[in-house]
Amino acid sequence: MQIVERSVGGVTILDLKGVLIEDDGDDVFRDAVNGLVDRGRTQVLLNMAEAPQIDSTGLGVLASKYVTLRRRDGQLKLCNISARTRRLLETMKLLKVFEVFDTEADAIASFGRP
Amino acid sequence: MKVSIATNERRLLCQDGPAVRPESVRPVHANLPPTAEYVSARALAESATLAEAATRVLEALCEALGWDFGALWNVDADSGILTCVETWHVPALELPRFDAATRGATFTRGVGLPGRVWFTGQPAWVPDVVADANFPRAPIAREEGLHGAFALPLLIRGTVVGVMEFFSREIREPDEALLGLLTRVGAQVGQFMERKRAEEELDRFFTLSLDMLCVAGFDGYFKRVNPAWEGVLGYTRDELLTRPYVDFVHPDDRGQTTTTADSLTTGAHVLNFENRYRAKDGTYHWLQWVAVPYPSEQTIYAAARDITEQKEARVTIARYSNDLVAARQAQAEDASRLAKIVSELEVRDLLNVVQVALQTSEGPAAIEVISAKPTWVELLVPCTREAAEQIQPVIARLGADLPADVCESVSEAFRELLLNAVEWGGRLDPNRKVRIAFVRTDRVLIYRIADPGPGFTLTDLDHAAITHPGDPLEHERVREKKGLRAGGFGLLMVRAKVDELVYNEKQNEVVFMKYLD
Repeated sequence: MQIVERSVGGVTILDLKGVLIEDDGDDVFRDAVNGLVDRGRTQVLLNMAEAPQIDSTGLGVLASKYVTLRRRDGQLKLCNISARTRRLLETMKLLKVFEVFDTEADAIASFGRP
Repeated sequence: MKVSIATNERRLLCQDGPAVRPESVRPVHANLPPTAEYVSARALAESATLAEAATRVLEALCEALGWDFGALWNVDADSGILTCVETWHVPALELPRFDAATRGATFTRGVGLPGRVWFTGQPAWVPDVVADANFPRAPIAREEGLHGAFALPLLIRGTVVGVMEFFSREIREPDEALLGLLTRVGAQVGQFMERKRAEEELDRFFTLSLDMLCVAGFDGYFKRVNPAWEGVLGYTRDELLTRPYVDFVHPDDRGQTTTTADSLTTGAHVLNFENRYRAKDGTYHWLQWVAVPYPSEQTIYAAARDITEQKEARVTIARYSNDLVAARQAQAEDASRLAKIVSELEVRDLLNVVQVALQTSEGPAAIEVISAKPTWVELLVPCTREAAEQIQPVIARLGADLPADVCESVSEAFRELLLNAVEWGGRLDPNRKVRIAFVRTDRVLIYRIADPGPGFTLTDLDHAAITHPGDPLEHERVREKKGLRAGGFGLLMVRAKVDELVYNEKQNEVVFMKYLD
């Protein structure tokens, strides 16, 4: 997996490219978020337009990092997810946890709202 | 006076004027009745048709009894009239008008001499028809010199079926002896008419039948054939009757035909016997026979039907049927060959996987193939993530023809459980093996994954999402405390994606199923 980090205002956008599955992307993603936390950047948006595949380990990493950021008063939001990922999130009841947006702009705008 | 000599009971007759019986001439019927009855019976026996019999009987009686003119009338019950069948008169006499009037006349019941007899059912004697009030032909009779007349009914079981009438140039008085004789003769003629009517009715069926009807002798010759034979085979009646019928039979069928004919001579009946007859144009026709013998007459009554077209149709249908069977067989063989090729490809595919696993895995790890049929795959997989990742796409490809959502669900479920098995059951030890099996039927996909571990209990799984249904994040906190890497959604995900998920008691073996209907 490749991850490109961008910033828009106080929001850090991570563009994921590849799969987020066990032994392929999960470690990279975990390290990337941990690095942001270390730098105090806790408002994170994942742009998953180019990461359509995710497995239970990938979900676990997402959930784990969500918990990590929330402990730092941060947020982890998602945008441009695939239909397959949306079905998986829904099945795992994670759509109640994550805020999911269809577009990056909508997601960024949501960070300013209380 | 012109005198002519009649026949055996020779009488001298006057050509015109009242008849005069010379004293030298014997009374015409005094000693002749037995002869008349015999002659009449012989005439009837030798006649083929009613018209022929009528002529001969009228001639015989006229000559035997000294009458000059005779006519036989037939009752046409449907029309309610009497019609003339035949007349006869002494050849030496000229009675053209009376003969024509008789042949052309019809009478209803009670009208004229024949109608009178029909009506009463009794013989009638008219001394002189010229003076009779109920005799429409009286003027012509007068012109041609006929006077005395006698008519009798032809009876069958009390019903008048015909009338015979006789005329004489003499004025005759009733004769009781003659009445008795003619009554007996009338009965003979009536029976003959009845028989001939039945025969003619039968002949009409025989002639008009579309089936080929025949009477054959035990001597091997046809005795009678109906016109259908000529229509089907093209031979004339004479050609058919003058050669042994076996000559017309196909050489290959003669043996069986002769055997069948022999069985008929012993009284056996034949149903649906088939043989081939050669037509005049050289072609052969398949005939189907029904035959009944009459040994006492040394004859066989038979009906044949031309079934050539049916036979050809049956052959055509059989050929098409064979072609269809062959086509289906070829199709099945093609499908079998294709399945075999696919199977071989899958085997090669799996073997390639094994080879790749051997090349890329470190140490003694090897994938062992127990079965590599597309519908039944069973493997022993080393407990490494590499081996699991290599096997997973092959297993997924076995269901590549299924709907995308089904393929996706089972593929993901299999992967999750296999990775669980190699990691938690096999502890990622390449020396330990996970046994996996895949069975596919028309209705269901079945996957079995058995790991070498000690199993687990649900109470051990508080680090899995499945044990915290109300909070999808709680197990992550547990995992963090336990120092486990992120994850834990596997079982919950599998349960959502498959139709059946069953663990064994020890919980180190899982079977999941996905229904296809």
